[in-house]
Amino acid sequence: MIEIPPIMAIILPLFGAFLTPIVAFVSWRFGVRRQVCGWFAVAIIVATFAIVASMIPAVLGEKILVYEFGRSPPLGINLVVDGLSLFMALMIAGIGSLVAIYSITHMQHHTRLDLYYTLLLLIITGMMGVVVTGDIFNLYVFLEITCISAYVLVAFERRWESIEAGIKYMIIGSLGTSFILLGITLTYGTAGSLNIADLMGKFAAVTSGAEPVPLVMVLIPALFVAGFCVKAAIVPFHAWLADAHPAAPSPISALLSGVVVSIGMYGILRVVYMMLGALTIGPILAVLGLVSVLVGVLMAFGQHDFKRMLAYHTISQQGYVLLGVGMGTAIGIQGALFHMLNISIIQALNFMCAGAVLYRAKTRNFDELGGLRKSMPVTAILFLVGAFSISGTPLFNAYASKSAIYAASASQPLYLAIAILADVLTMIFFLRAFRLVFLGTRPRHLLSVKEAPMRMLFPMCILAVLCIVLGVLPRLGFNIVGTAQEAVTNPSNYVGRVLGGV
Amino acid sequence: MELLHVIATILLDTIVVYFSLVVKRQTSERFWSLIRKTFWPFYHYVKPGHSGILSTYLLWAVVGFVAIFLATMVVLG
Repeated sequence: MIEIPPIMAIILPLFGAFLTPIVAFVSWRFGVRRQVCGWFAVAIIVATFAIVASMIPAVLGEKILVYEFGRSPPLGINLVVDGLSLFMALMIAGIGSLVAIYSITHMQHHTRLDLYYTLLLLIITGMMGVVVTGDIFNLYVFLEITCISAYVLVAFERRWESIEAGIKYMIIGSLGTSFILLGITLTYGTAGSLNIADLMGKFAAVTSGAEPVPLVMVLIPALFVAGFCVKAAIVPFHAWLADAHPAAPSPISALLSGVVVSIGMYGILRVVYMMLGALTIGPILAVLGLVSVLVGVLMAFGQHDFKRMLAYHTISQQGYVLLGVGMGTAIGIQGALFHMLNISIIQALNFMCAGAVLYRAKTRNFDELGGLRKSMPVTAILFLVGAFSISGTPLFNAYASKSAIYAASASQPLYLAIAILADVLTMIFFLRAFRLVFLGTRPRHLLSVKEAPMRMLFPMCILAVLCIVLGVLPRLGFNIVGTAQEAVTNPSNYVGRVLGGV
Repeated sequence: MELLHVIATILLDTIVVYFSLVVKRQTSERFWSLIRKTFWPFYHYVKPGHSGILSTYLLWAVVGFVAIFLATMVVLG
């Protein structure tokens, strides 16, 4: 089997992004259908998924793939694919493919589709770069590519609401990346290196506790935690999300809530835990996670906007992930990673359901919706699957991941009680949303509403099936995240492989 | 323990489904108002529209950073 270098996972969507306007021009010149750009983007992202999937056998065989540019690490730039990178890359390309398929029909009435698909491919490029780079500064650069594409996509529909949300997201997001850049600057000033593996070794003294920790060593983790918490929409850095996700086109909301916020969580795992080795700040992360769980779910209460309600649940579910990460134990990190996977599936499904309702009913206001189970029965069932999944109901995927997080926080009864209370509230609010949208009497203006088109239902069905399969076979999910958890809890393999036996 | 967890979750979910979907609207409204009353002090400050002001968002982010910095100092210090 030919070994494909990890760089291809970045190059392919990047070139695809720059080729999209050319494809759009050629298809327009020859009078081909407008959807050509969309299918081109789907082909590129599916090919990226195939490239990432081709690395599975090597990484499962306990091999860490290292791709070097020029000089050897720590001096040269390198790409590293370990269990955590592979897990994230599969999630990004998988959800990205489904979002691209969903976009073809959902976005067909919009203009400037070449710009839309260019930005979609750039987001994928940025996220792929973030997860496979072995260099902290390149991580920042790829993070900026992701975020700048996301800012523009949020404002893509050019309504007042979306432009305002895009600007807010840009300003808060820039503050987050400024924290990260300042953290990188101090890291380089302190350790004289930008290579993640090299820095892992140099920062080992932080956890040893052998000497008093200098102020700069306190400032660096604080800056990274704050910066990545902005990206992951953790309370109190969450405010941008509730504006940005509802205002974005629905496929982009699915991508943002599905995987883009997980990039922040990846940053915490890779940089704060693995690079800085700052496991002692776990309790701070756990408290932040718990606050996010509670605030997110309570703010979802009383929302009249379908997508805004879902956006607050994204904040709440990210809190569960951070709670698991903060507990710092193997089961906690395993639960957090599994929940990250589950949330990417569930929230992509939920936002796609909301998008299907918006596509047909032309509104996302609960007060103007109702009785859609008669006209959109498949969407109703798929949303119900999403609702049961996100609430941690047995036989649905989040049950297993939340159980693992509960098991990890069993030593803290207060944490456990708050997390379970939030879980029950999540169930209540999702069933309320289901009742308001799909049950009751159908208003006169919704009488002509039809079921969502097949091309939109297809990715939603795949996501719903994944919710059930991972719920019925939780061991499969834990096996999927097992290699990633091993990479997080045992970073010495990463250092050894990248630095060549150091 | 595992079995107990499953049974408790199913029981809880059944109650929630019953109250949310099955109970008639009037009773259901009463059920919702109980939650509203309980969380009112909190809900009063975070109403649907959020604060919506960018400077408030930035203030929260900066306050969050200061809080994390101080907490990190205590933990690592």
